[in-house]
Amino acid sequence: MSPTSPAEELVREFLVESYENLDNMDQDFVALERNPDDRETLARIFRYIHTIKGSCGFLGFEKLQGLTHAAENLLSLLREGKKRLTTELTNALLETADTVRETLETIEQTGREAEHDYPALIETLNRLQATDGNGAEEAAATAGSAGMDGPPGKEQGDFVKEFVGKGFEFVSNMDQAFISLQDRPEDSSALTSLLEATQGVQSEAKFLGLADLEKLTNMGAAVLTLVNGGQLHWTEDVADALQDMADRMGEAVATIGSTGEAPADDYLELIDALNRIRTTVAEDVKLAEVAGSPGGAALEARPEDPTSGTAPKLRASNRKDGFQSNLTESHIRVDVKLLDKLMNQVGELVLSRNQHLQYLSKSQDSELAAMSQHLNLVTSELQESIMAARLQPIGTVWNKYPRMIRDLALELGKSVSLKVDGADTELDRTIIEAIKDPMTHLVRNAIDHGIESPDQRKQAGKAEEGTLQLRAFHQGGQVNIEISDDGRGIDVQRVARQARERDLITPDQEESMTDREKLNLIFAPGFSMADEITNISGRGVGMDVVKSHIERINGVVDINSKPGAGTQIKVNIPLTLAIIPALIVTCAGQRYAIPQASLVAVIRLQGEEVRSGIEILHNVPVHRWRGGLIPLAYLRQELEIEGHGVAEDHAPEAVSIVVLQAEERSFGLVVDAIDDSVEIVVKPLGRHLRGIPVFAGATIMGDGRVAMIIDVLGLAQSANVVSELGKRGFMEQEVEAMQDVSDKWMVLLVQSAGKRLAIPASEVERIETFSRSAIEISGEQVLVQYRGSVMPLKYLTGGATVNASPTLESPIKDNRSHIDVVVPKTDSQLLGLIVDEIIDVLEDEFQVANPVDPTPGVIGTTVIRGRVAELVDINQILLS
Amino acid sequence: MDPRQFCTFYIDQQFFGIEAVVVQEVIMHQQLNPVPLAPNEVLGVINLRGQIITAIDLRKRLGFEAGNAVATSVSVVAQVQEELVSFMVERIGEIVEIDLNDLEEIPGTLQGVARELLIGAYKMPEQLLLILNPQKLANAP
Repeated sequence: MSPTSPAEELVREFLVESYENLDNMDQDFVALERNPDDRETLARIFRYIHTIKGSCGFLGFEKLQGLTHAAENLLSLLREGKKRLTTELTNALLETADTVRETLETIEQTGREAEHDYPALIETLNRLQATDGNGAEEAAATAGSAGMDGPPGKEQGDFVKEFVGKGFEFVSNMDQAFISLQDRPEDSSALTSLLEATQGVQSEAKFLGLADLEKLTNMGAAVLTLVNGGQLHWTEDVADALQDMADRMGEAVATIGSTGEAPADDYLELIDALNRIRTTVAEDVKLAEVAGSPGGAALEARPEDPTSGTAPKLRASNRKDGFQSNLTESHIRVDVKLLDKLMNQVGELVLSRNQHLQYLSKSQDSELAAMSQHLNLVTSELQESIMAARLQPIGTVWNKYPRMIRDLALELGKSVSLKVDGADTELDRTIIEAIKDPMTHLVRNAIDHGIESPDQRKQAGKAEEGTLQLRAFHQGGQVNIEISDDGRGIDVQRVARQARERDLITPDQEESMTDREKLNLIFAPGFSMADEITNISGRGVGMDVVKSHIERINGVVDINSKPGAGTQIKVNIPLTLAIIPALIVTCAGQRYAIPQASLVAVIRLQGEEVRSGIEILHNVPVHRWRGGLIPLAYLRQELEIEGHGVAEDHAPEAVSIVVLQAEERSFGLVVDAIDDSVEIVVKPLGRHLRGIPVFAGATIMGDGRVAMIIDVLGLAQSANVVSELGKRGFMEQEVEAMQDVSDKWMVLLVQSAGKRLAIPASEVERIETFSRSAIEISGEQVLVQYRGSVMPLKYLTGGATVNASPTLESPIKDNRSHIDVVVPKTDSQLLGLIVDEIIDVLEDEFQVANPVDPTPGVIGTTVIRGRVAELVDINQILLS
Repeated sequence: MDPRQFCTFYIDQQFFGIEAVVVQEVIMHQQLNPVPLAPNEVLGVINLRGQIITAIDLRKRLGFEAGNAVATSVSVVAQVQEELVSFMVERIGEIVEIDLNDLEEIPGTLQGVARELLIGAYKMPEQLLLILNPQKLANAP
């Protein structure tokens, strides 16, 4: 870091603080506009302007000072209730804030103000001050009129706190400076510090209406200005007097802090003493020239002072500090680059520590083990702390929105209110950087395209004011951000049409796509919803860029919309801070890391459990777990590694299953072995490997080998254990039924073709009995009129069906008067299953055993009422 | 005159080179970690001082047939498109200096090498040196 001069340092601090203040002011302005009578907000705004103005004065930025002064006057009138806040006023004030910001930027770049003045803006501000009939008030620049009269009131509580906090800071700065000056009376930075602190307290005092304190510090500042300018020497007397002043300042701050009221001291004596010092300047200068010795000259001018040393000694402070400055909030600013560097180094440290642990596990040295334990602990804590330091609340991005939304809404003639929930949700800095722009775009989009004009809303029976809601919260190792509006929603057909017009999809696709797929066309590159491309949300580079930005940080974005009601966009981002806890598993001799955040449980099946623990339902291996069924995926299979070990073969002795969670669904992952839980540093994969859905990155193990990190969601999707919304298979229905009724499920027990068959009740639509006369035979086909359509019938013979013809063995042939038919649930072809007899519908904890000879259409066998029944797979039967 | 240095290597007895300026280092027998589901020409990843780098089998990438028993176990680590990548070759050669103006067209009879990966050819005393384009080499298929 290159050294900066104290002056540059001051300017830098001024800039940083002022930018912050301006941001806060923006938000407050918008809030104030909605609530013009909110005195606290108004007072806060006043304070911000006042602070900036004060610093300008101190740093010599005159033009800026003039501008803020005009704004301050206007605000003063508002605060005193002599004017009311109108849109015109707000606009002027916001414009002032923007202009100030611009000036700050100029100062940041060039170190100086811009050349030009702001006559037009100042004129506007002055003009707006003109009250009806009362005549414009010219608040004096430095007189106490800008401050409050009397002691700080209740609503000023926060200001008092700030004053006390700052006051203590100022006073302690002065203490430091005094100490420096004792050794080096020419220490100009110390002198500057004294002046700054004194002026700081003076400004605060003026603001809070502490007239006496203000006078005292005013005088002190005057003296210090002379010292700084070289016209007054740092003598014992000067030092004493100023030290005295510092003490009184400290006392005043303490008293105000504890009682809320200023001490009853008018400091007249001290003010007088300082004044005398000030007026002896001329004499000092003359004598100094004559005598040639700085200390001596000063001493001679004041004969009553007996001391003869040249360096005035620091007098022991008389200050009565009763009040500990625990009101002072201790925060410091840290350069973000430094944090990043720390983060990297901690990452390396973690790697090194891991290697140590690895080596240690092979060693017998217990002393070494004990020492390493400590190293281990400290490293983990350090890592946690660094990660915490990098966290920022998402509110830092959101707090720019009120202003942005206000301006945008005004521009578009719409009325929008913003609701925010979870602004304190913390994210790693890099994630915030990455989603800043996408989020902003989404918000602008919602206002531009989503929320209708007040007229349109009224016509639609909605409130004229639209609502935009932002929500953020942590869930399951991810950050969820929701941006919702109650606007007009998205017309999916129109989207599809536009996509076709832009040649993004074919007419056939337009026909066959589901609504959901059409909705997601919004994210396609080259798509734009607006008929005219507006300036505001930009051309069709919007949503696809949003999506790619989010996917770049491994997030997902999802959109949901209801025409007429509104749109909701959800963004999910994994909290992949660079170091995460993970479980290491082995598969085919290689290690893989599974992020702890997705890990639910670990199961080991041994011996008999291996066989009974894994069942096949619908051709999917499942395992009963905690009252439900979880589908199983085999890691070996998903990684397409050749070799034995899949369920069909003779069971191994032990099976390890990790229960994982993806999108609120649990599933089991069968692995070869489960190793330790470790902390790993997440390293990104290169271009060629980034696209593989089952991997989220890689990490380096203690022995230098690389382990791939499993992307649990990617794995789940590729293994098809989390199905798309809307398509619900047997599995999920089972699981749901499970959740409610522990292990019980319902079957329809029938007798057909000489066998007892069990049909999962969830697969059955209806049970019907048709009279023989209703059934029509046409060649091989047997049909019946059913609910307005013609339903073919087949005879259920187990895992299959046969034609129910009069020639073949079937109830038809038997010429029964009534035929029992089971109508299965189906998306596609309607088909009725003729059975001999419907026995019963039962609910129980049926245990299903795998068939010895697998037959298509038969899931397994189960025992019902003491007899074996075949559990049939309806879907399979329907397909065949 | 436009002399440049080239890092050379052998694959299947053919002689190749890429511009030395993109090559960061050459390592022998670096431990390779296989990556399931990776594209065909990716042999895996290597751990280069804490950085995980994709290892691309140049024999496959260049379109040679499998079957030759010589392993491509020498890593030519290069910086391409802002990313480090390891080109796996059989044997490393010397650094040669070539004037770009002397590069010739790729002979029409050249077999077995995807033409768009080459920049040009250079006649050396013993054999023909084929100059590769690192950007194209490192492109994901």
